[in-house]
Amino acid sequence: MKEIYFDNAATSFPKAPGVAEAITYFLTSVGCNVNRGAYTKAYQTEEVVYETRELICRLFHFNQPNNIVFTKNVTESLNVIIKGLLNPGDHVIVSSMEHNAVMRPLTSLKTRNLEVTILECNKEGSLSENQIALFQSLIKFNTKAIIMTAASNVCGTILPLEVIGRLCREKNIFFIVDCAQMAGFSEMDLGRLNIDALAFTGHKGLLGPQGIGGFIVNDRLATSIKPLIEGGTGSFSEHETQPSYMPDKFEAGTLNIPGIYGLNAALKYLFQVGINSIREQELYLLELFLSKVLDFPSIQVIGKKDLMYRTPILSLNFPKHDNAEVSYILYKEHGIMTRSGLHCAPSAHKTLGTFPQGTVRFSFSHFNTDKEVIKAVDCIRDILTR
Amino acid sequence: MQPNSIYFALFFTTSGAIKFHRILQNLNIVSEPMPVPRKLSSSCGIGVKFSYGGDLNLLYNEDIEKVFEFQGNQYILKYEN
Repeated sequence: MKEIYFDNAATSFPKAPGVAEAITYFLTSVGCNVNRGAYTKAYQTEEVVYETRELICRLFHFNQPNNIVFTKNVTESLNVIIKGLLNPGDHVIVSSMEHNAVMRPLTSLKTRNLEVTILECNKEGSLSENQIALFQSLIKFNTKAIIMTAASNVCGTILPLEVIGRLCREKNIFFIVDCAQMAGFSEMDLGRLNIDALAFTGHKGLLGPQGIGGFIVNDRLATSIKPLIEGGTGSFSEHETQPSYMPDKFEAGTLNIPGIYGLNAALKYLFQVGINSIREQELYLLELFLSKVLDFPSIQVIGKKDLMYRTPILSLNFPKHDNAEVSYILYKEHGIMTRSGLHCAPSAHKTLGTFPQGTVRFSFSHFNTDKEVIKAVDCIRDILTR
Repeated sequence: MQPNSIYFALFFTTSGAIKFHRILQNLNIVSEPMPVPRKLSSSCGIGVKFSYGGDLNLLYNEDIEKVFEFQGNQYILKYEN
């Protein structure tokens, strides 16, 4: 049985062509550390690391490669930003669509007198004009930041970053964006969106390997964040305090250089194929799937029912079945890989009305095909007859 | 354009050194990253040696800690950030 992978929101597969080769090349033919040794191979490695920072800059229309910080994933990036920025007595606003990568660090800090307000989203996972107006009334004298996902990992809805970013700038509060599901689907202009920090991961839409991610931070915010991890950077070695220069301030210890080589290859592939082409193919597959499942009266499509302001994620609820069982049958009998449950986002599921039963999430890649989507529809039809 | 001199730039971070090296390469200025000589103290252990005959002011950026000109066996400080 040929397997079909529809769990790209968890991690993309297959990876971009060239990713595995780049990692293998590093591990078998280079192998050097960066910021330490002073020999040609080390410089060549540093060139690749720096070039990868430049590629990330290009993707997000940012012009300071040294302000690209590599971490292991978006969760670590958000922890660095949240725990390094927010102090007891501060107030922060988050959308109700946030992943636990945001919610758990904030819940932890609440025990240390951090005040957190949740801005409720609507049943489509977005913010109406009234809810945006409410956002302004939630801002207080001690509001330091708003943290918002660019796009929901549950239902794919893209949030109105431009409006929120503009309000943040007007009110002089930091705007921090979780880009886990948006990177690689759409280019983003950090300056236009007034984003102060953007956390990304390399292994989802960027089509790179697991274990490499990072964040982009402007100078305004970088100086306000204390480093979470401190240690050797290869710079200022005579001092036993963490340097304040970027990116060393946040990059203590040896980087995941094989991961950076893989991400470098993945980013070059994205630019070669074109993010717009990738998005068109993914939305084409989503439209095909959506148009078919909307015809099944016994299935609930969660969130938006159209293609506007969304990524290629679709969550379905099967009221007459157990969602976990549907996901299990799809794989066991048909080889179709999906993810059921709460997707590490209980607040988002409460917003969408799917807590605690969760949903079956289908998330497409441009490597998927019409044939695979049609097969999934046929399998769902089969399951509904049981 | 004056005859080329040999300079050695020091940086706060290795990333800054690599960035500067890439800038020089794009300007077709002969340059090479190398370990910082012991007689020059530096925040990071890697500097960039380069051969240049133009106005140094055009090359300075915020990543550079110091620039020395190499004359005989001596390093003459030309710029300090």
